[in-house]
Amino acid sequence: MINRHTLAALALACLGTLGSTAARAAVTMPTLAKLQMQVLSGPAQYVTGGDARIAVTAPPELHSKLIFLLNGQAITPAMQSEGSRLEGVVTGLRLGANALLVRYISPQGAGVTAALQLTNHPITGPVFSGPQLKPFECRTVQSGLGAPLDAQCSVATRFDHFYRNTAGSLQPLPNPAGPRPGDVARTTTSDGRNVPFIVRVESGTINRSIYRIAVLDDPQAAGVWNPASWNRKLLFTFGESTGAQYHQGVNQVTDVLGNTAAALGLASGHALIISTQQVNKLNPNDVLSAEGLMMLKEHFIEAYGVPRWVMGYGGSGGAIQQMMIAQNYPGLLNGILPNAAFPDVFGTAQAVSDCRLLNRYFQANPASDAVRKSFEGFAKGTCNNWDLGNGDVVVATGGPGSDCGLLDKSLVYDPVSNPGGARCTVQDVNANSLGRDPTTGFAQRPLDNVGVQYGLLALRQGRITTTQFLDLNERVGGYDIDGNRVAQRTAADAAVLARAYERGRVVQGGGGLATVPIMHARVWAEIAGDIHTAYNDVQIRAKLLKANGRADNQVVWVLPHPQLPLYLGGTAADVARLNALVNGVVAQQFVLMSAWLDALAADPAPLSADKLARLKPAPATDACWDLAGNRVADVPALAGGTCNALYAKGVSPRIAAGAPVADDALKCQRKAIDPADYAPLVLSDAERARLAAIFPGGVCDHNQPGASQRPLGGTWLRY
Amino acid sequence: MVNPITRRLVVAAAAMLLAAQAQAAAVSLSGSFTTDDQVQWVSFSTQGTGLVTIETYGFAGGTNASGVTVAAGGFDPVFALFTSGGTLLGFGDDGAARFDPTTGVAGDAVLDITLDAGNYLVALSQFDNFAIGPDIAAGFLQAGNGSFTAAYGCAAGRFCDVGGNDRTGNFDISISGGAVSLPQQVPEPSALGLLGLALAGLWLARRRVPPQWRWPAPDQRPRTGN
Repeated sequence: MINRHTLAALALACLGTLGSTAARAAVTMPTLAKLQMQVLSGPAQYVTGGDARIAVTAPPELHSKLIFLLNGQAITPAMQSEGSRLEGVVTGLRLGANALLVRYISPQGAGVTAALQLTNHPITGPVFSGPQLKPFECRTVQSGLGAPLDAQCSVATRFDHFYRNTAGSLQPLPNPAGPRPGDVARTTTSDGRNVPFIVRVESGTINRSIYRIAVLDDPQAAGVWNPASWNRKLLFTFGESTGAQYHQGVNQVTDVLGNTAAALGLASGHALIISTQQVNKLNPNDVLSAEGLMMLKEHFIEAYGVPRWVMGYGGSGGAIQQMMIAQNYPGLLNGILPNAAFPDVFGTAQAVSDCRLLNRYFQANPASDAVRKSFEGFAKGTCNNWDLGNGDVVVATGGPGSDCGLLDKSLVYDPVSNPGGARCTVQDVNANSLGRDPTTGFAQRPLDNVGVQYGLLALRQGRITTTQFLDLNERVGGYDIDGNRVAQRTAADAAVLARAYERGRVVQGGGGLATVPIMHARVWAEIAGDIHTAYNDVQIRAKLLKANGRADNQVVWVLPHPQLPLYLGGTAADVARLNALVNGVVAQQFVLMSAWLDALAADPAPLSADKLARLKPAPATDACWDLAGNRVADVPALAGGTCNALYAKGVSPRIAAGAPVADDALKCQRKAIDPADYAPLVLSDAERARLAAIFPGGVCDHNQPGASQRPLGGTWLRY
Repeated sequence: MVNPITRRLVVAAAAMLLAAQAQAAAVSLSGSFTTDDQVQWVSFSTQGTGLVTIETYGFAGGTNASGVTVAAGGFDPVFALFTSGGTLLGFGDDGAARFDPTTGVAGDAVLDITLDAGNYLVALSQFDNFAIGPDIAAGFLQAGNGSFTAAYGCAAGRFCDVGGNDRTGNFDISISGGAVSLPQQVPEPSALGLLGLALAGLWLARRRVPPQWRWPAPDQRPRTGN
């Protein structure tokens, strides 16, 4: 052990060889260079699992003479030297604060030191997301990993190998360091190396989630990964939908080999990660998802090395997670492919909850498709699909069959029998950032429809009658805090709204979204009631422009859904052709984003919006593809242009009620009812009186920002 | 009797109060070391969670966060930030984009860190007398070695930078941020409560470090800035 006393003695001994102070002053001494040390695996204050990959910059001749001190104790981490850089993993960090010092003491006794403070957190979390969700059920058995080792649902890390055979299928490789099967295929990586198509899959638990890491391997020894086949790029896949579940989630070892990211990048040498926590239908808390991503990235860097870049991939709910993480925790993802995008959880929940109210109204009060669209904004069937598919995200009991995903149903909230139970709403699993009602303990909800005049644009345009307008707005109602429909409109208080904006629970386009490459691809099927509506791309564009004054880091592509021919009298051959088209465009999207990220990584200039624009590949521009597969250059907009003629966009109920395209107000500011707002319609006295009764506090003023709306308060927030 | 630690902080606080208010919550302290291994402690509070910047100015000079012009020429500073309980939160070494007019070196230290409301301590010292960490009690690398920079080879044999240049013992450090404030003045014996566990940490440090380092030695009394 070397402690400060040892070091001091060593230094003094060296000094002693030089004689007196006066004599020392006369000696010509070589100039020392300061050492530099940095953490490579993540933020120094958010280290997890007791280890960290670090780099030291020092003259090469000093590398073998450096002394590492961890909390005053000498350690000897395995470090690899390359040029002036020394890199390796330091282990043995204690929970909490740690001090890591690297020292060199010259023969003359002159010391140079670099220091890092590392704050280590448990590998089971939490780090910055706040208190963990309770109750919480493990799913390690269902994921093929055996019984959990502890209450945090941990398992021992395991490794499986597979190979692609010459017939193109993946096969288990139980003895990866042993004799190879004769039918192992080969593949050429993106950096030109021809290697055997053998994949190592690491399975384990981090932050209470189940992860899988897949990467090419050409094992030369048992239990040792051979990095030669990795192209130093990492793809992280985010999962779909939205739902609040109180368990670990389930995946299987082969899932990481069978997704789109694997199809796009495995053969070319990309490493792939999936994890249950980054599936939005399990965990719609982007803070927790960002935390898990940070921890997985840290583990990957420690175990495999520093990737040149990390690309996010995933659609629908997976797009939500990418958008929110990129805004709120910049740097975790270097580029994102949020396909079939929605911007965030609560903006989308607003449209979903509106749709449920409208759908239930029309179920009780049938109306024509045209009238419904006037209120709903979306194409026929979309609101119904939202209601049936995701409307329960505001229901505390989770709705029929959901039960927060818990196997033990006794843990679920019930207003009478279990008022302290698990509440299955999106706001309750985001309680750490949204806050709780001090009286009930329930999470506060940033949803509101007070003052919303559903169908206002259609009323002005004469597409609905005043009677229809007044009747629906009179009876559409809202939700109580348990998500039950009630006659009163839903009201959010100012404090939770402010927190939602400041803390990034709503994507407003700022934060890290200003400096991350974004490429959307969307297959259009609104004609079939697809909830993945294309107005979201336009909405995101408007938010980026509003927050940053530019949106040239976003590329929007719209394609026909491969099933679209079935709605248009096409054939199975048409479907096959469109499938090929979509697969080709998605591959092109991946290639372009890769080129963009390669260029960004290779350019030493600091990250900036200008840098992104300068290095954007030329073909990465807004476009749609027609049914014949022709690319059409067009800027995303709600109306006009060739692409809208091909693929008409529905809009949210709020936009149909007069909200701007950014559609970013969780609650509107209100104004007094002004009869002139309804021109050319002239309201009768009775209609005015009825309108005043429906909206006693006034109606939405869409010329004003939302109530309590404010910019993002900062990034990398902790709770 | 007022505890010497508290007296020093109170004096510094009183001297800087106007500047701190005028500069929207900036705490600055200047002074001079007489030996290489001295450590200058600065206490500050934050009223809420927010970004705090700790920056030295004595090496390259400049206008500090309290608006005071600081001359260049001081020693190469490093610092460590601790909680009031004595837990290490961060190091500062170099990073400030101001260059010493004589050497052309940017040797001043800066640290931007988000802190919660509470009391904190900064230990300013001379490169490479780093805090050993992970807490105050562990002491400093060069404690007891009052002329350790002589090995860098300057003529004076004290306050040498790593390039072998003669520097002075002068320092200047500022702590700024929207929520930063000076420690409140409270009479003894509550003074111990003012810094809470920090003082317990200091007491531990005093027990463990060599006598030469023990603080505050008479020759380490600070000069207050502003």
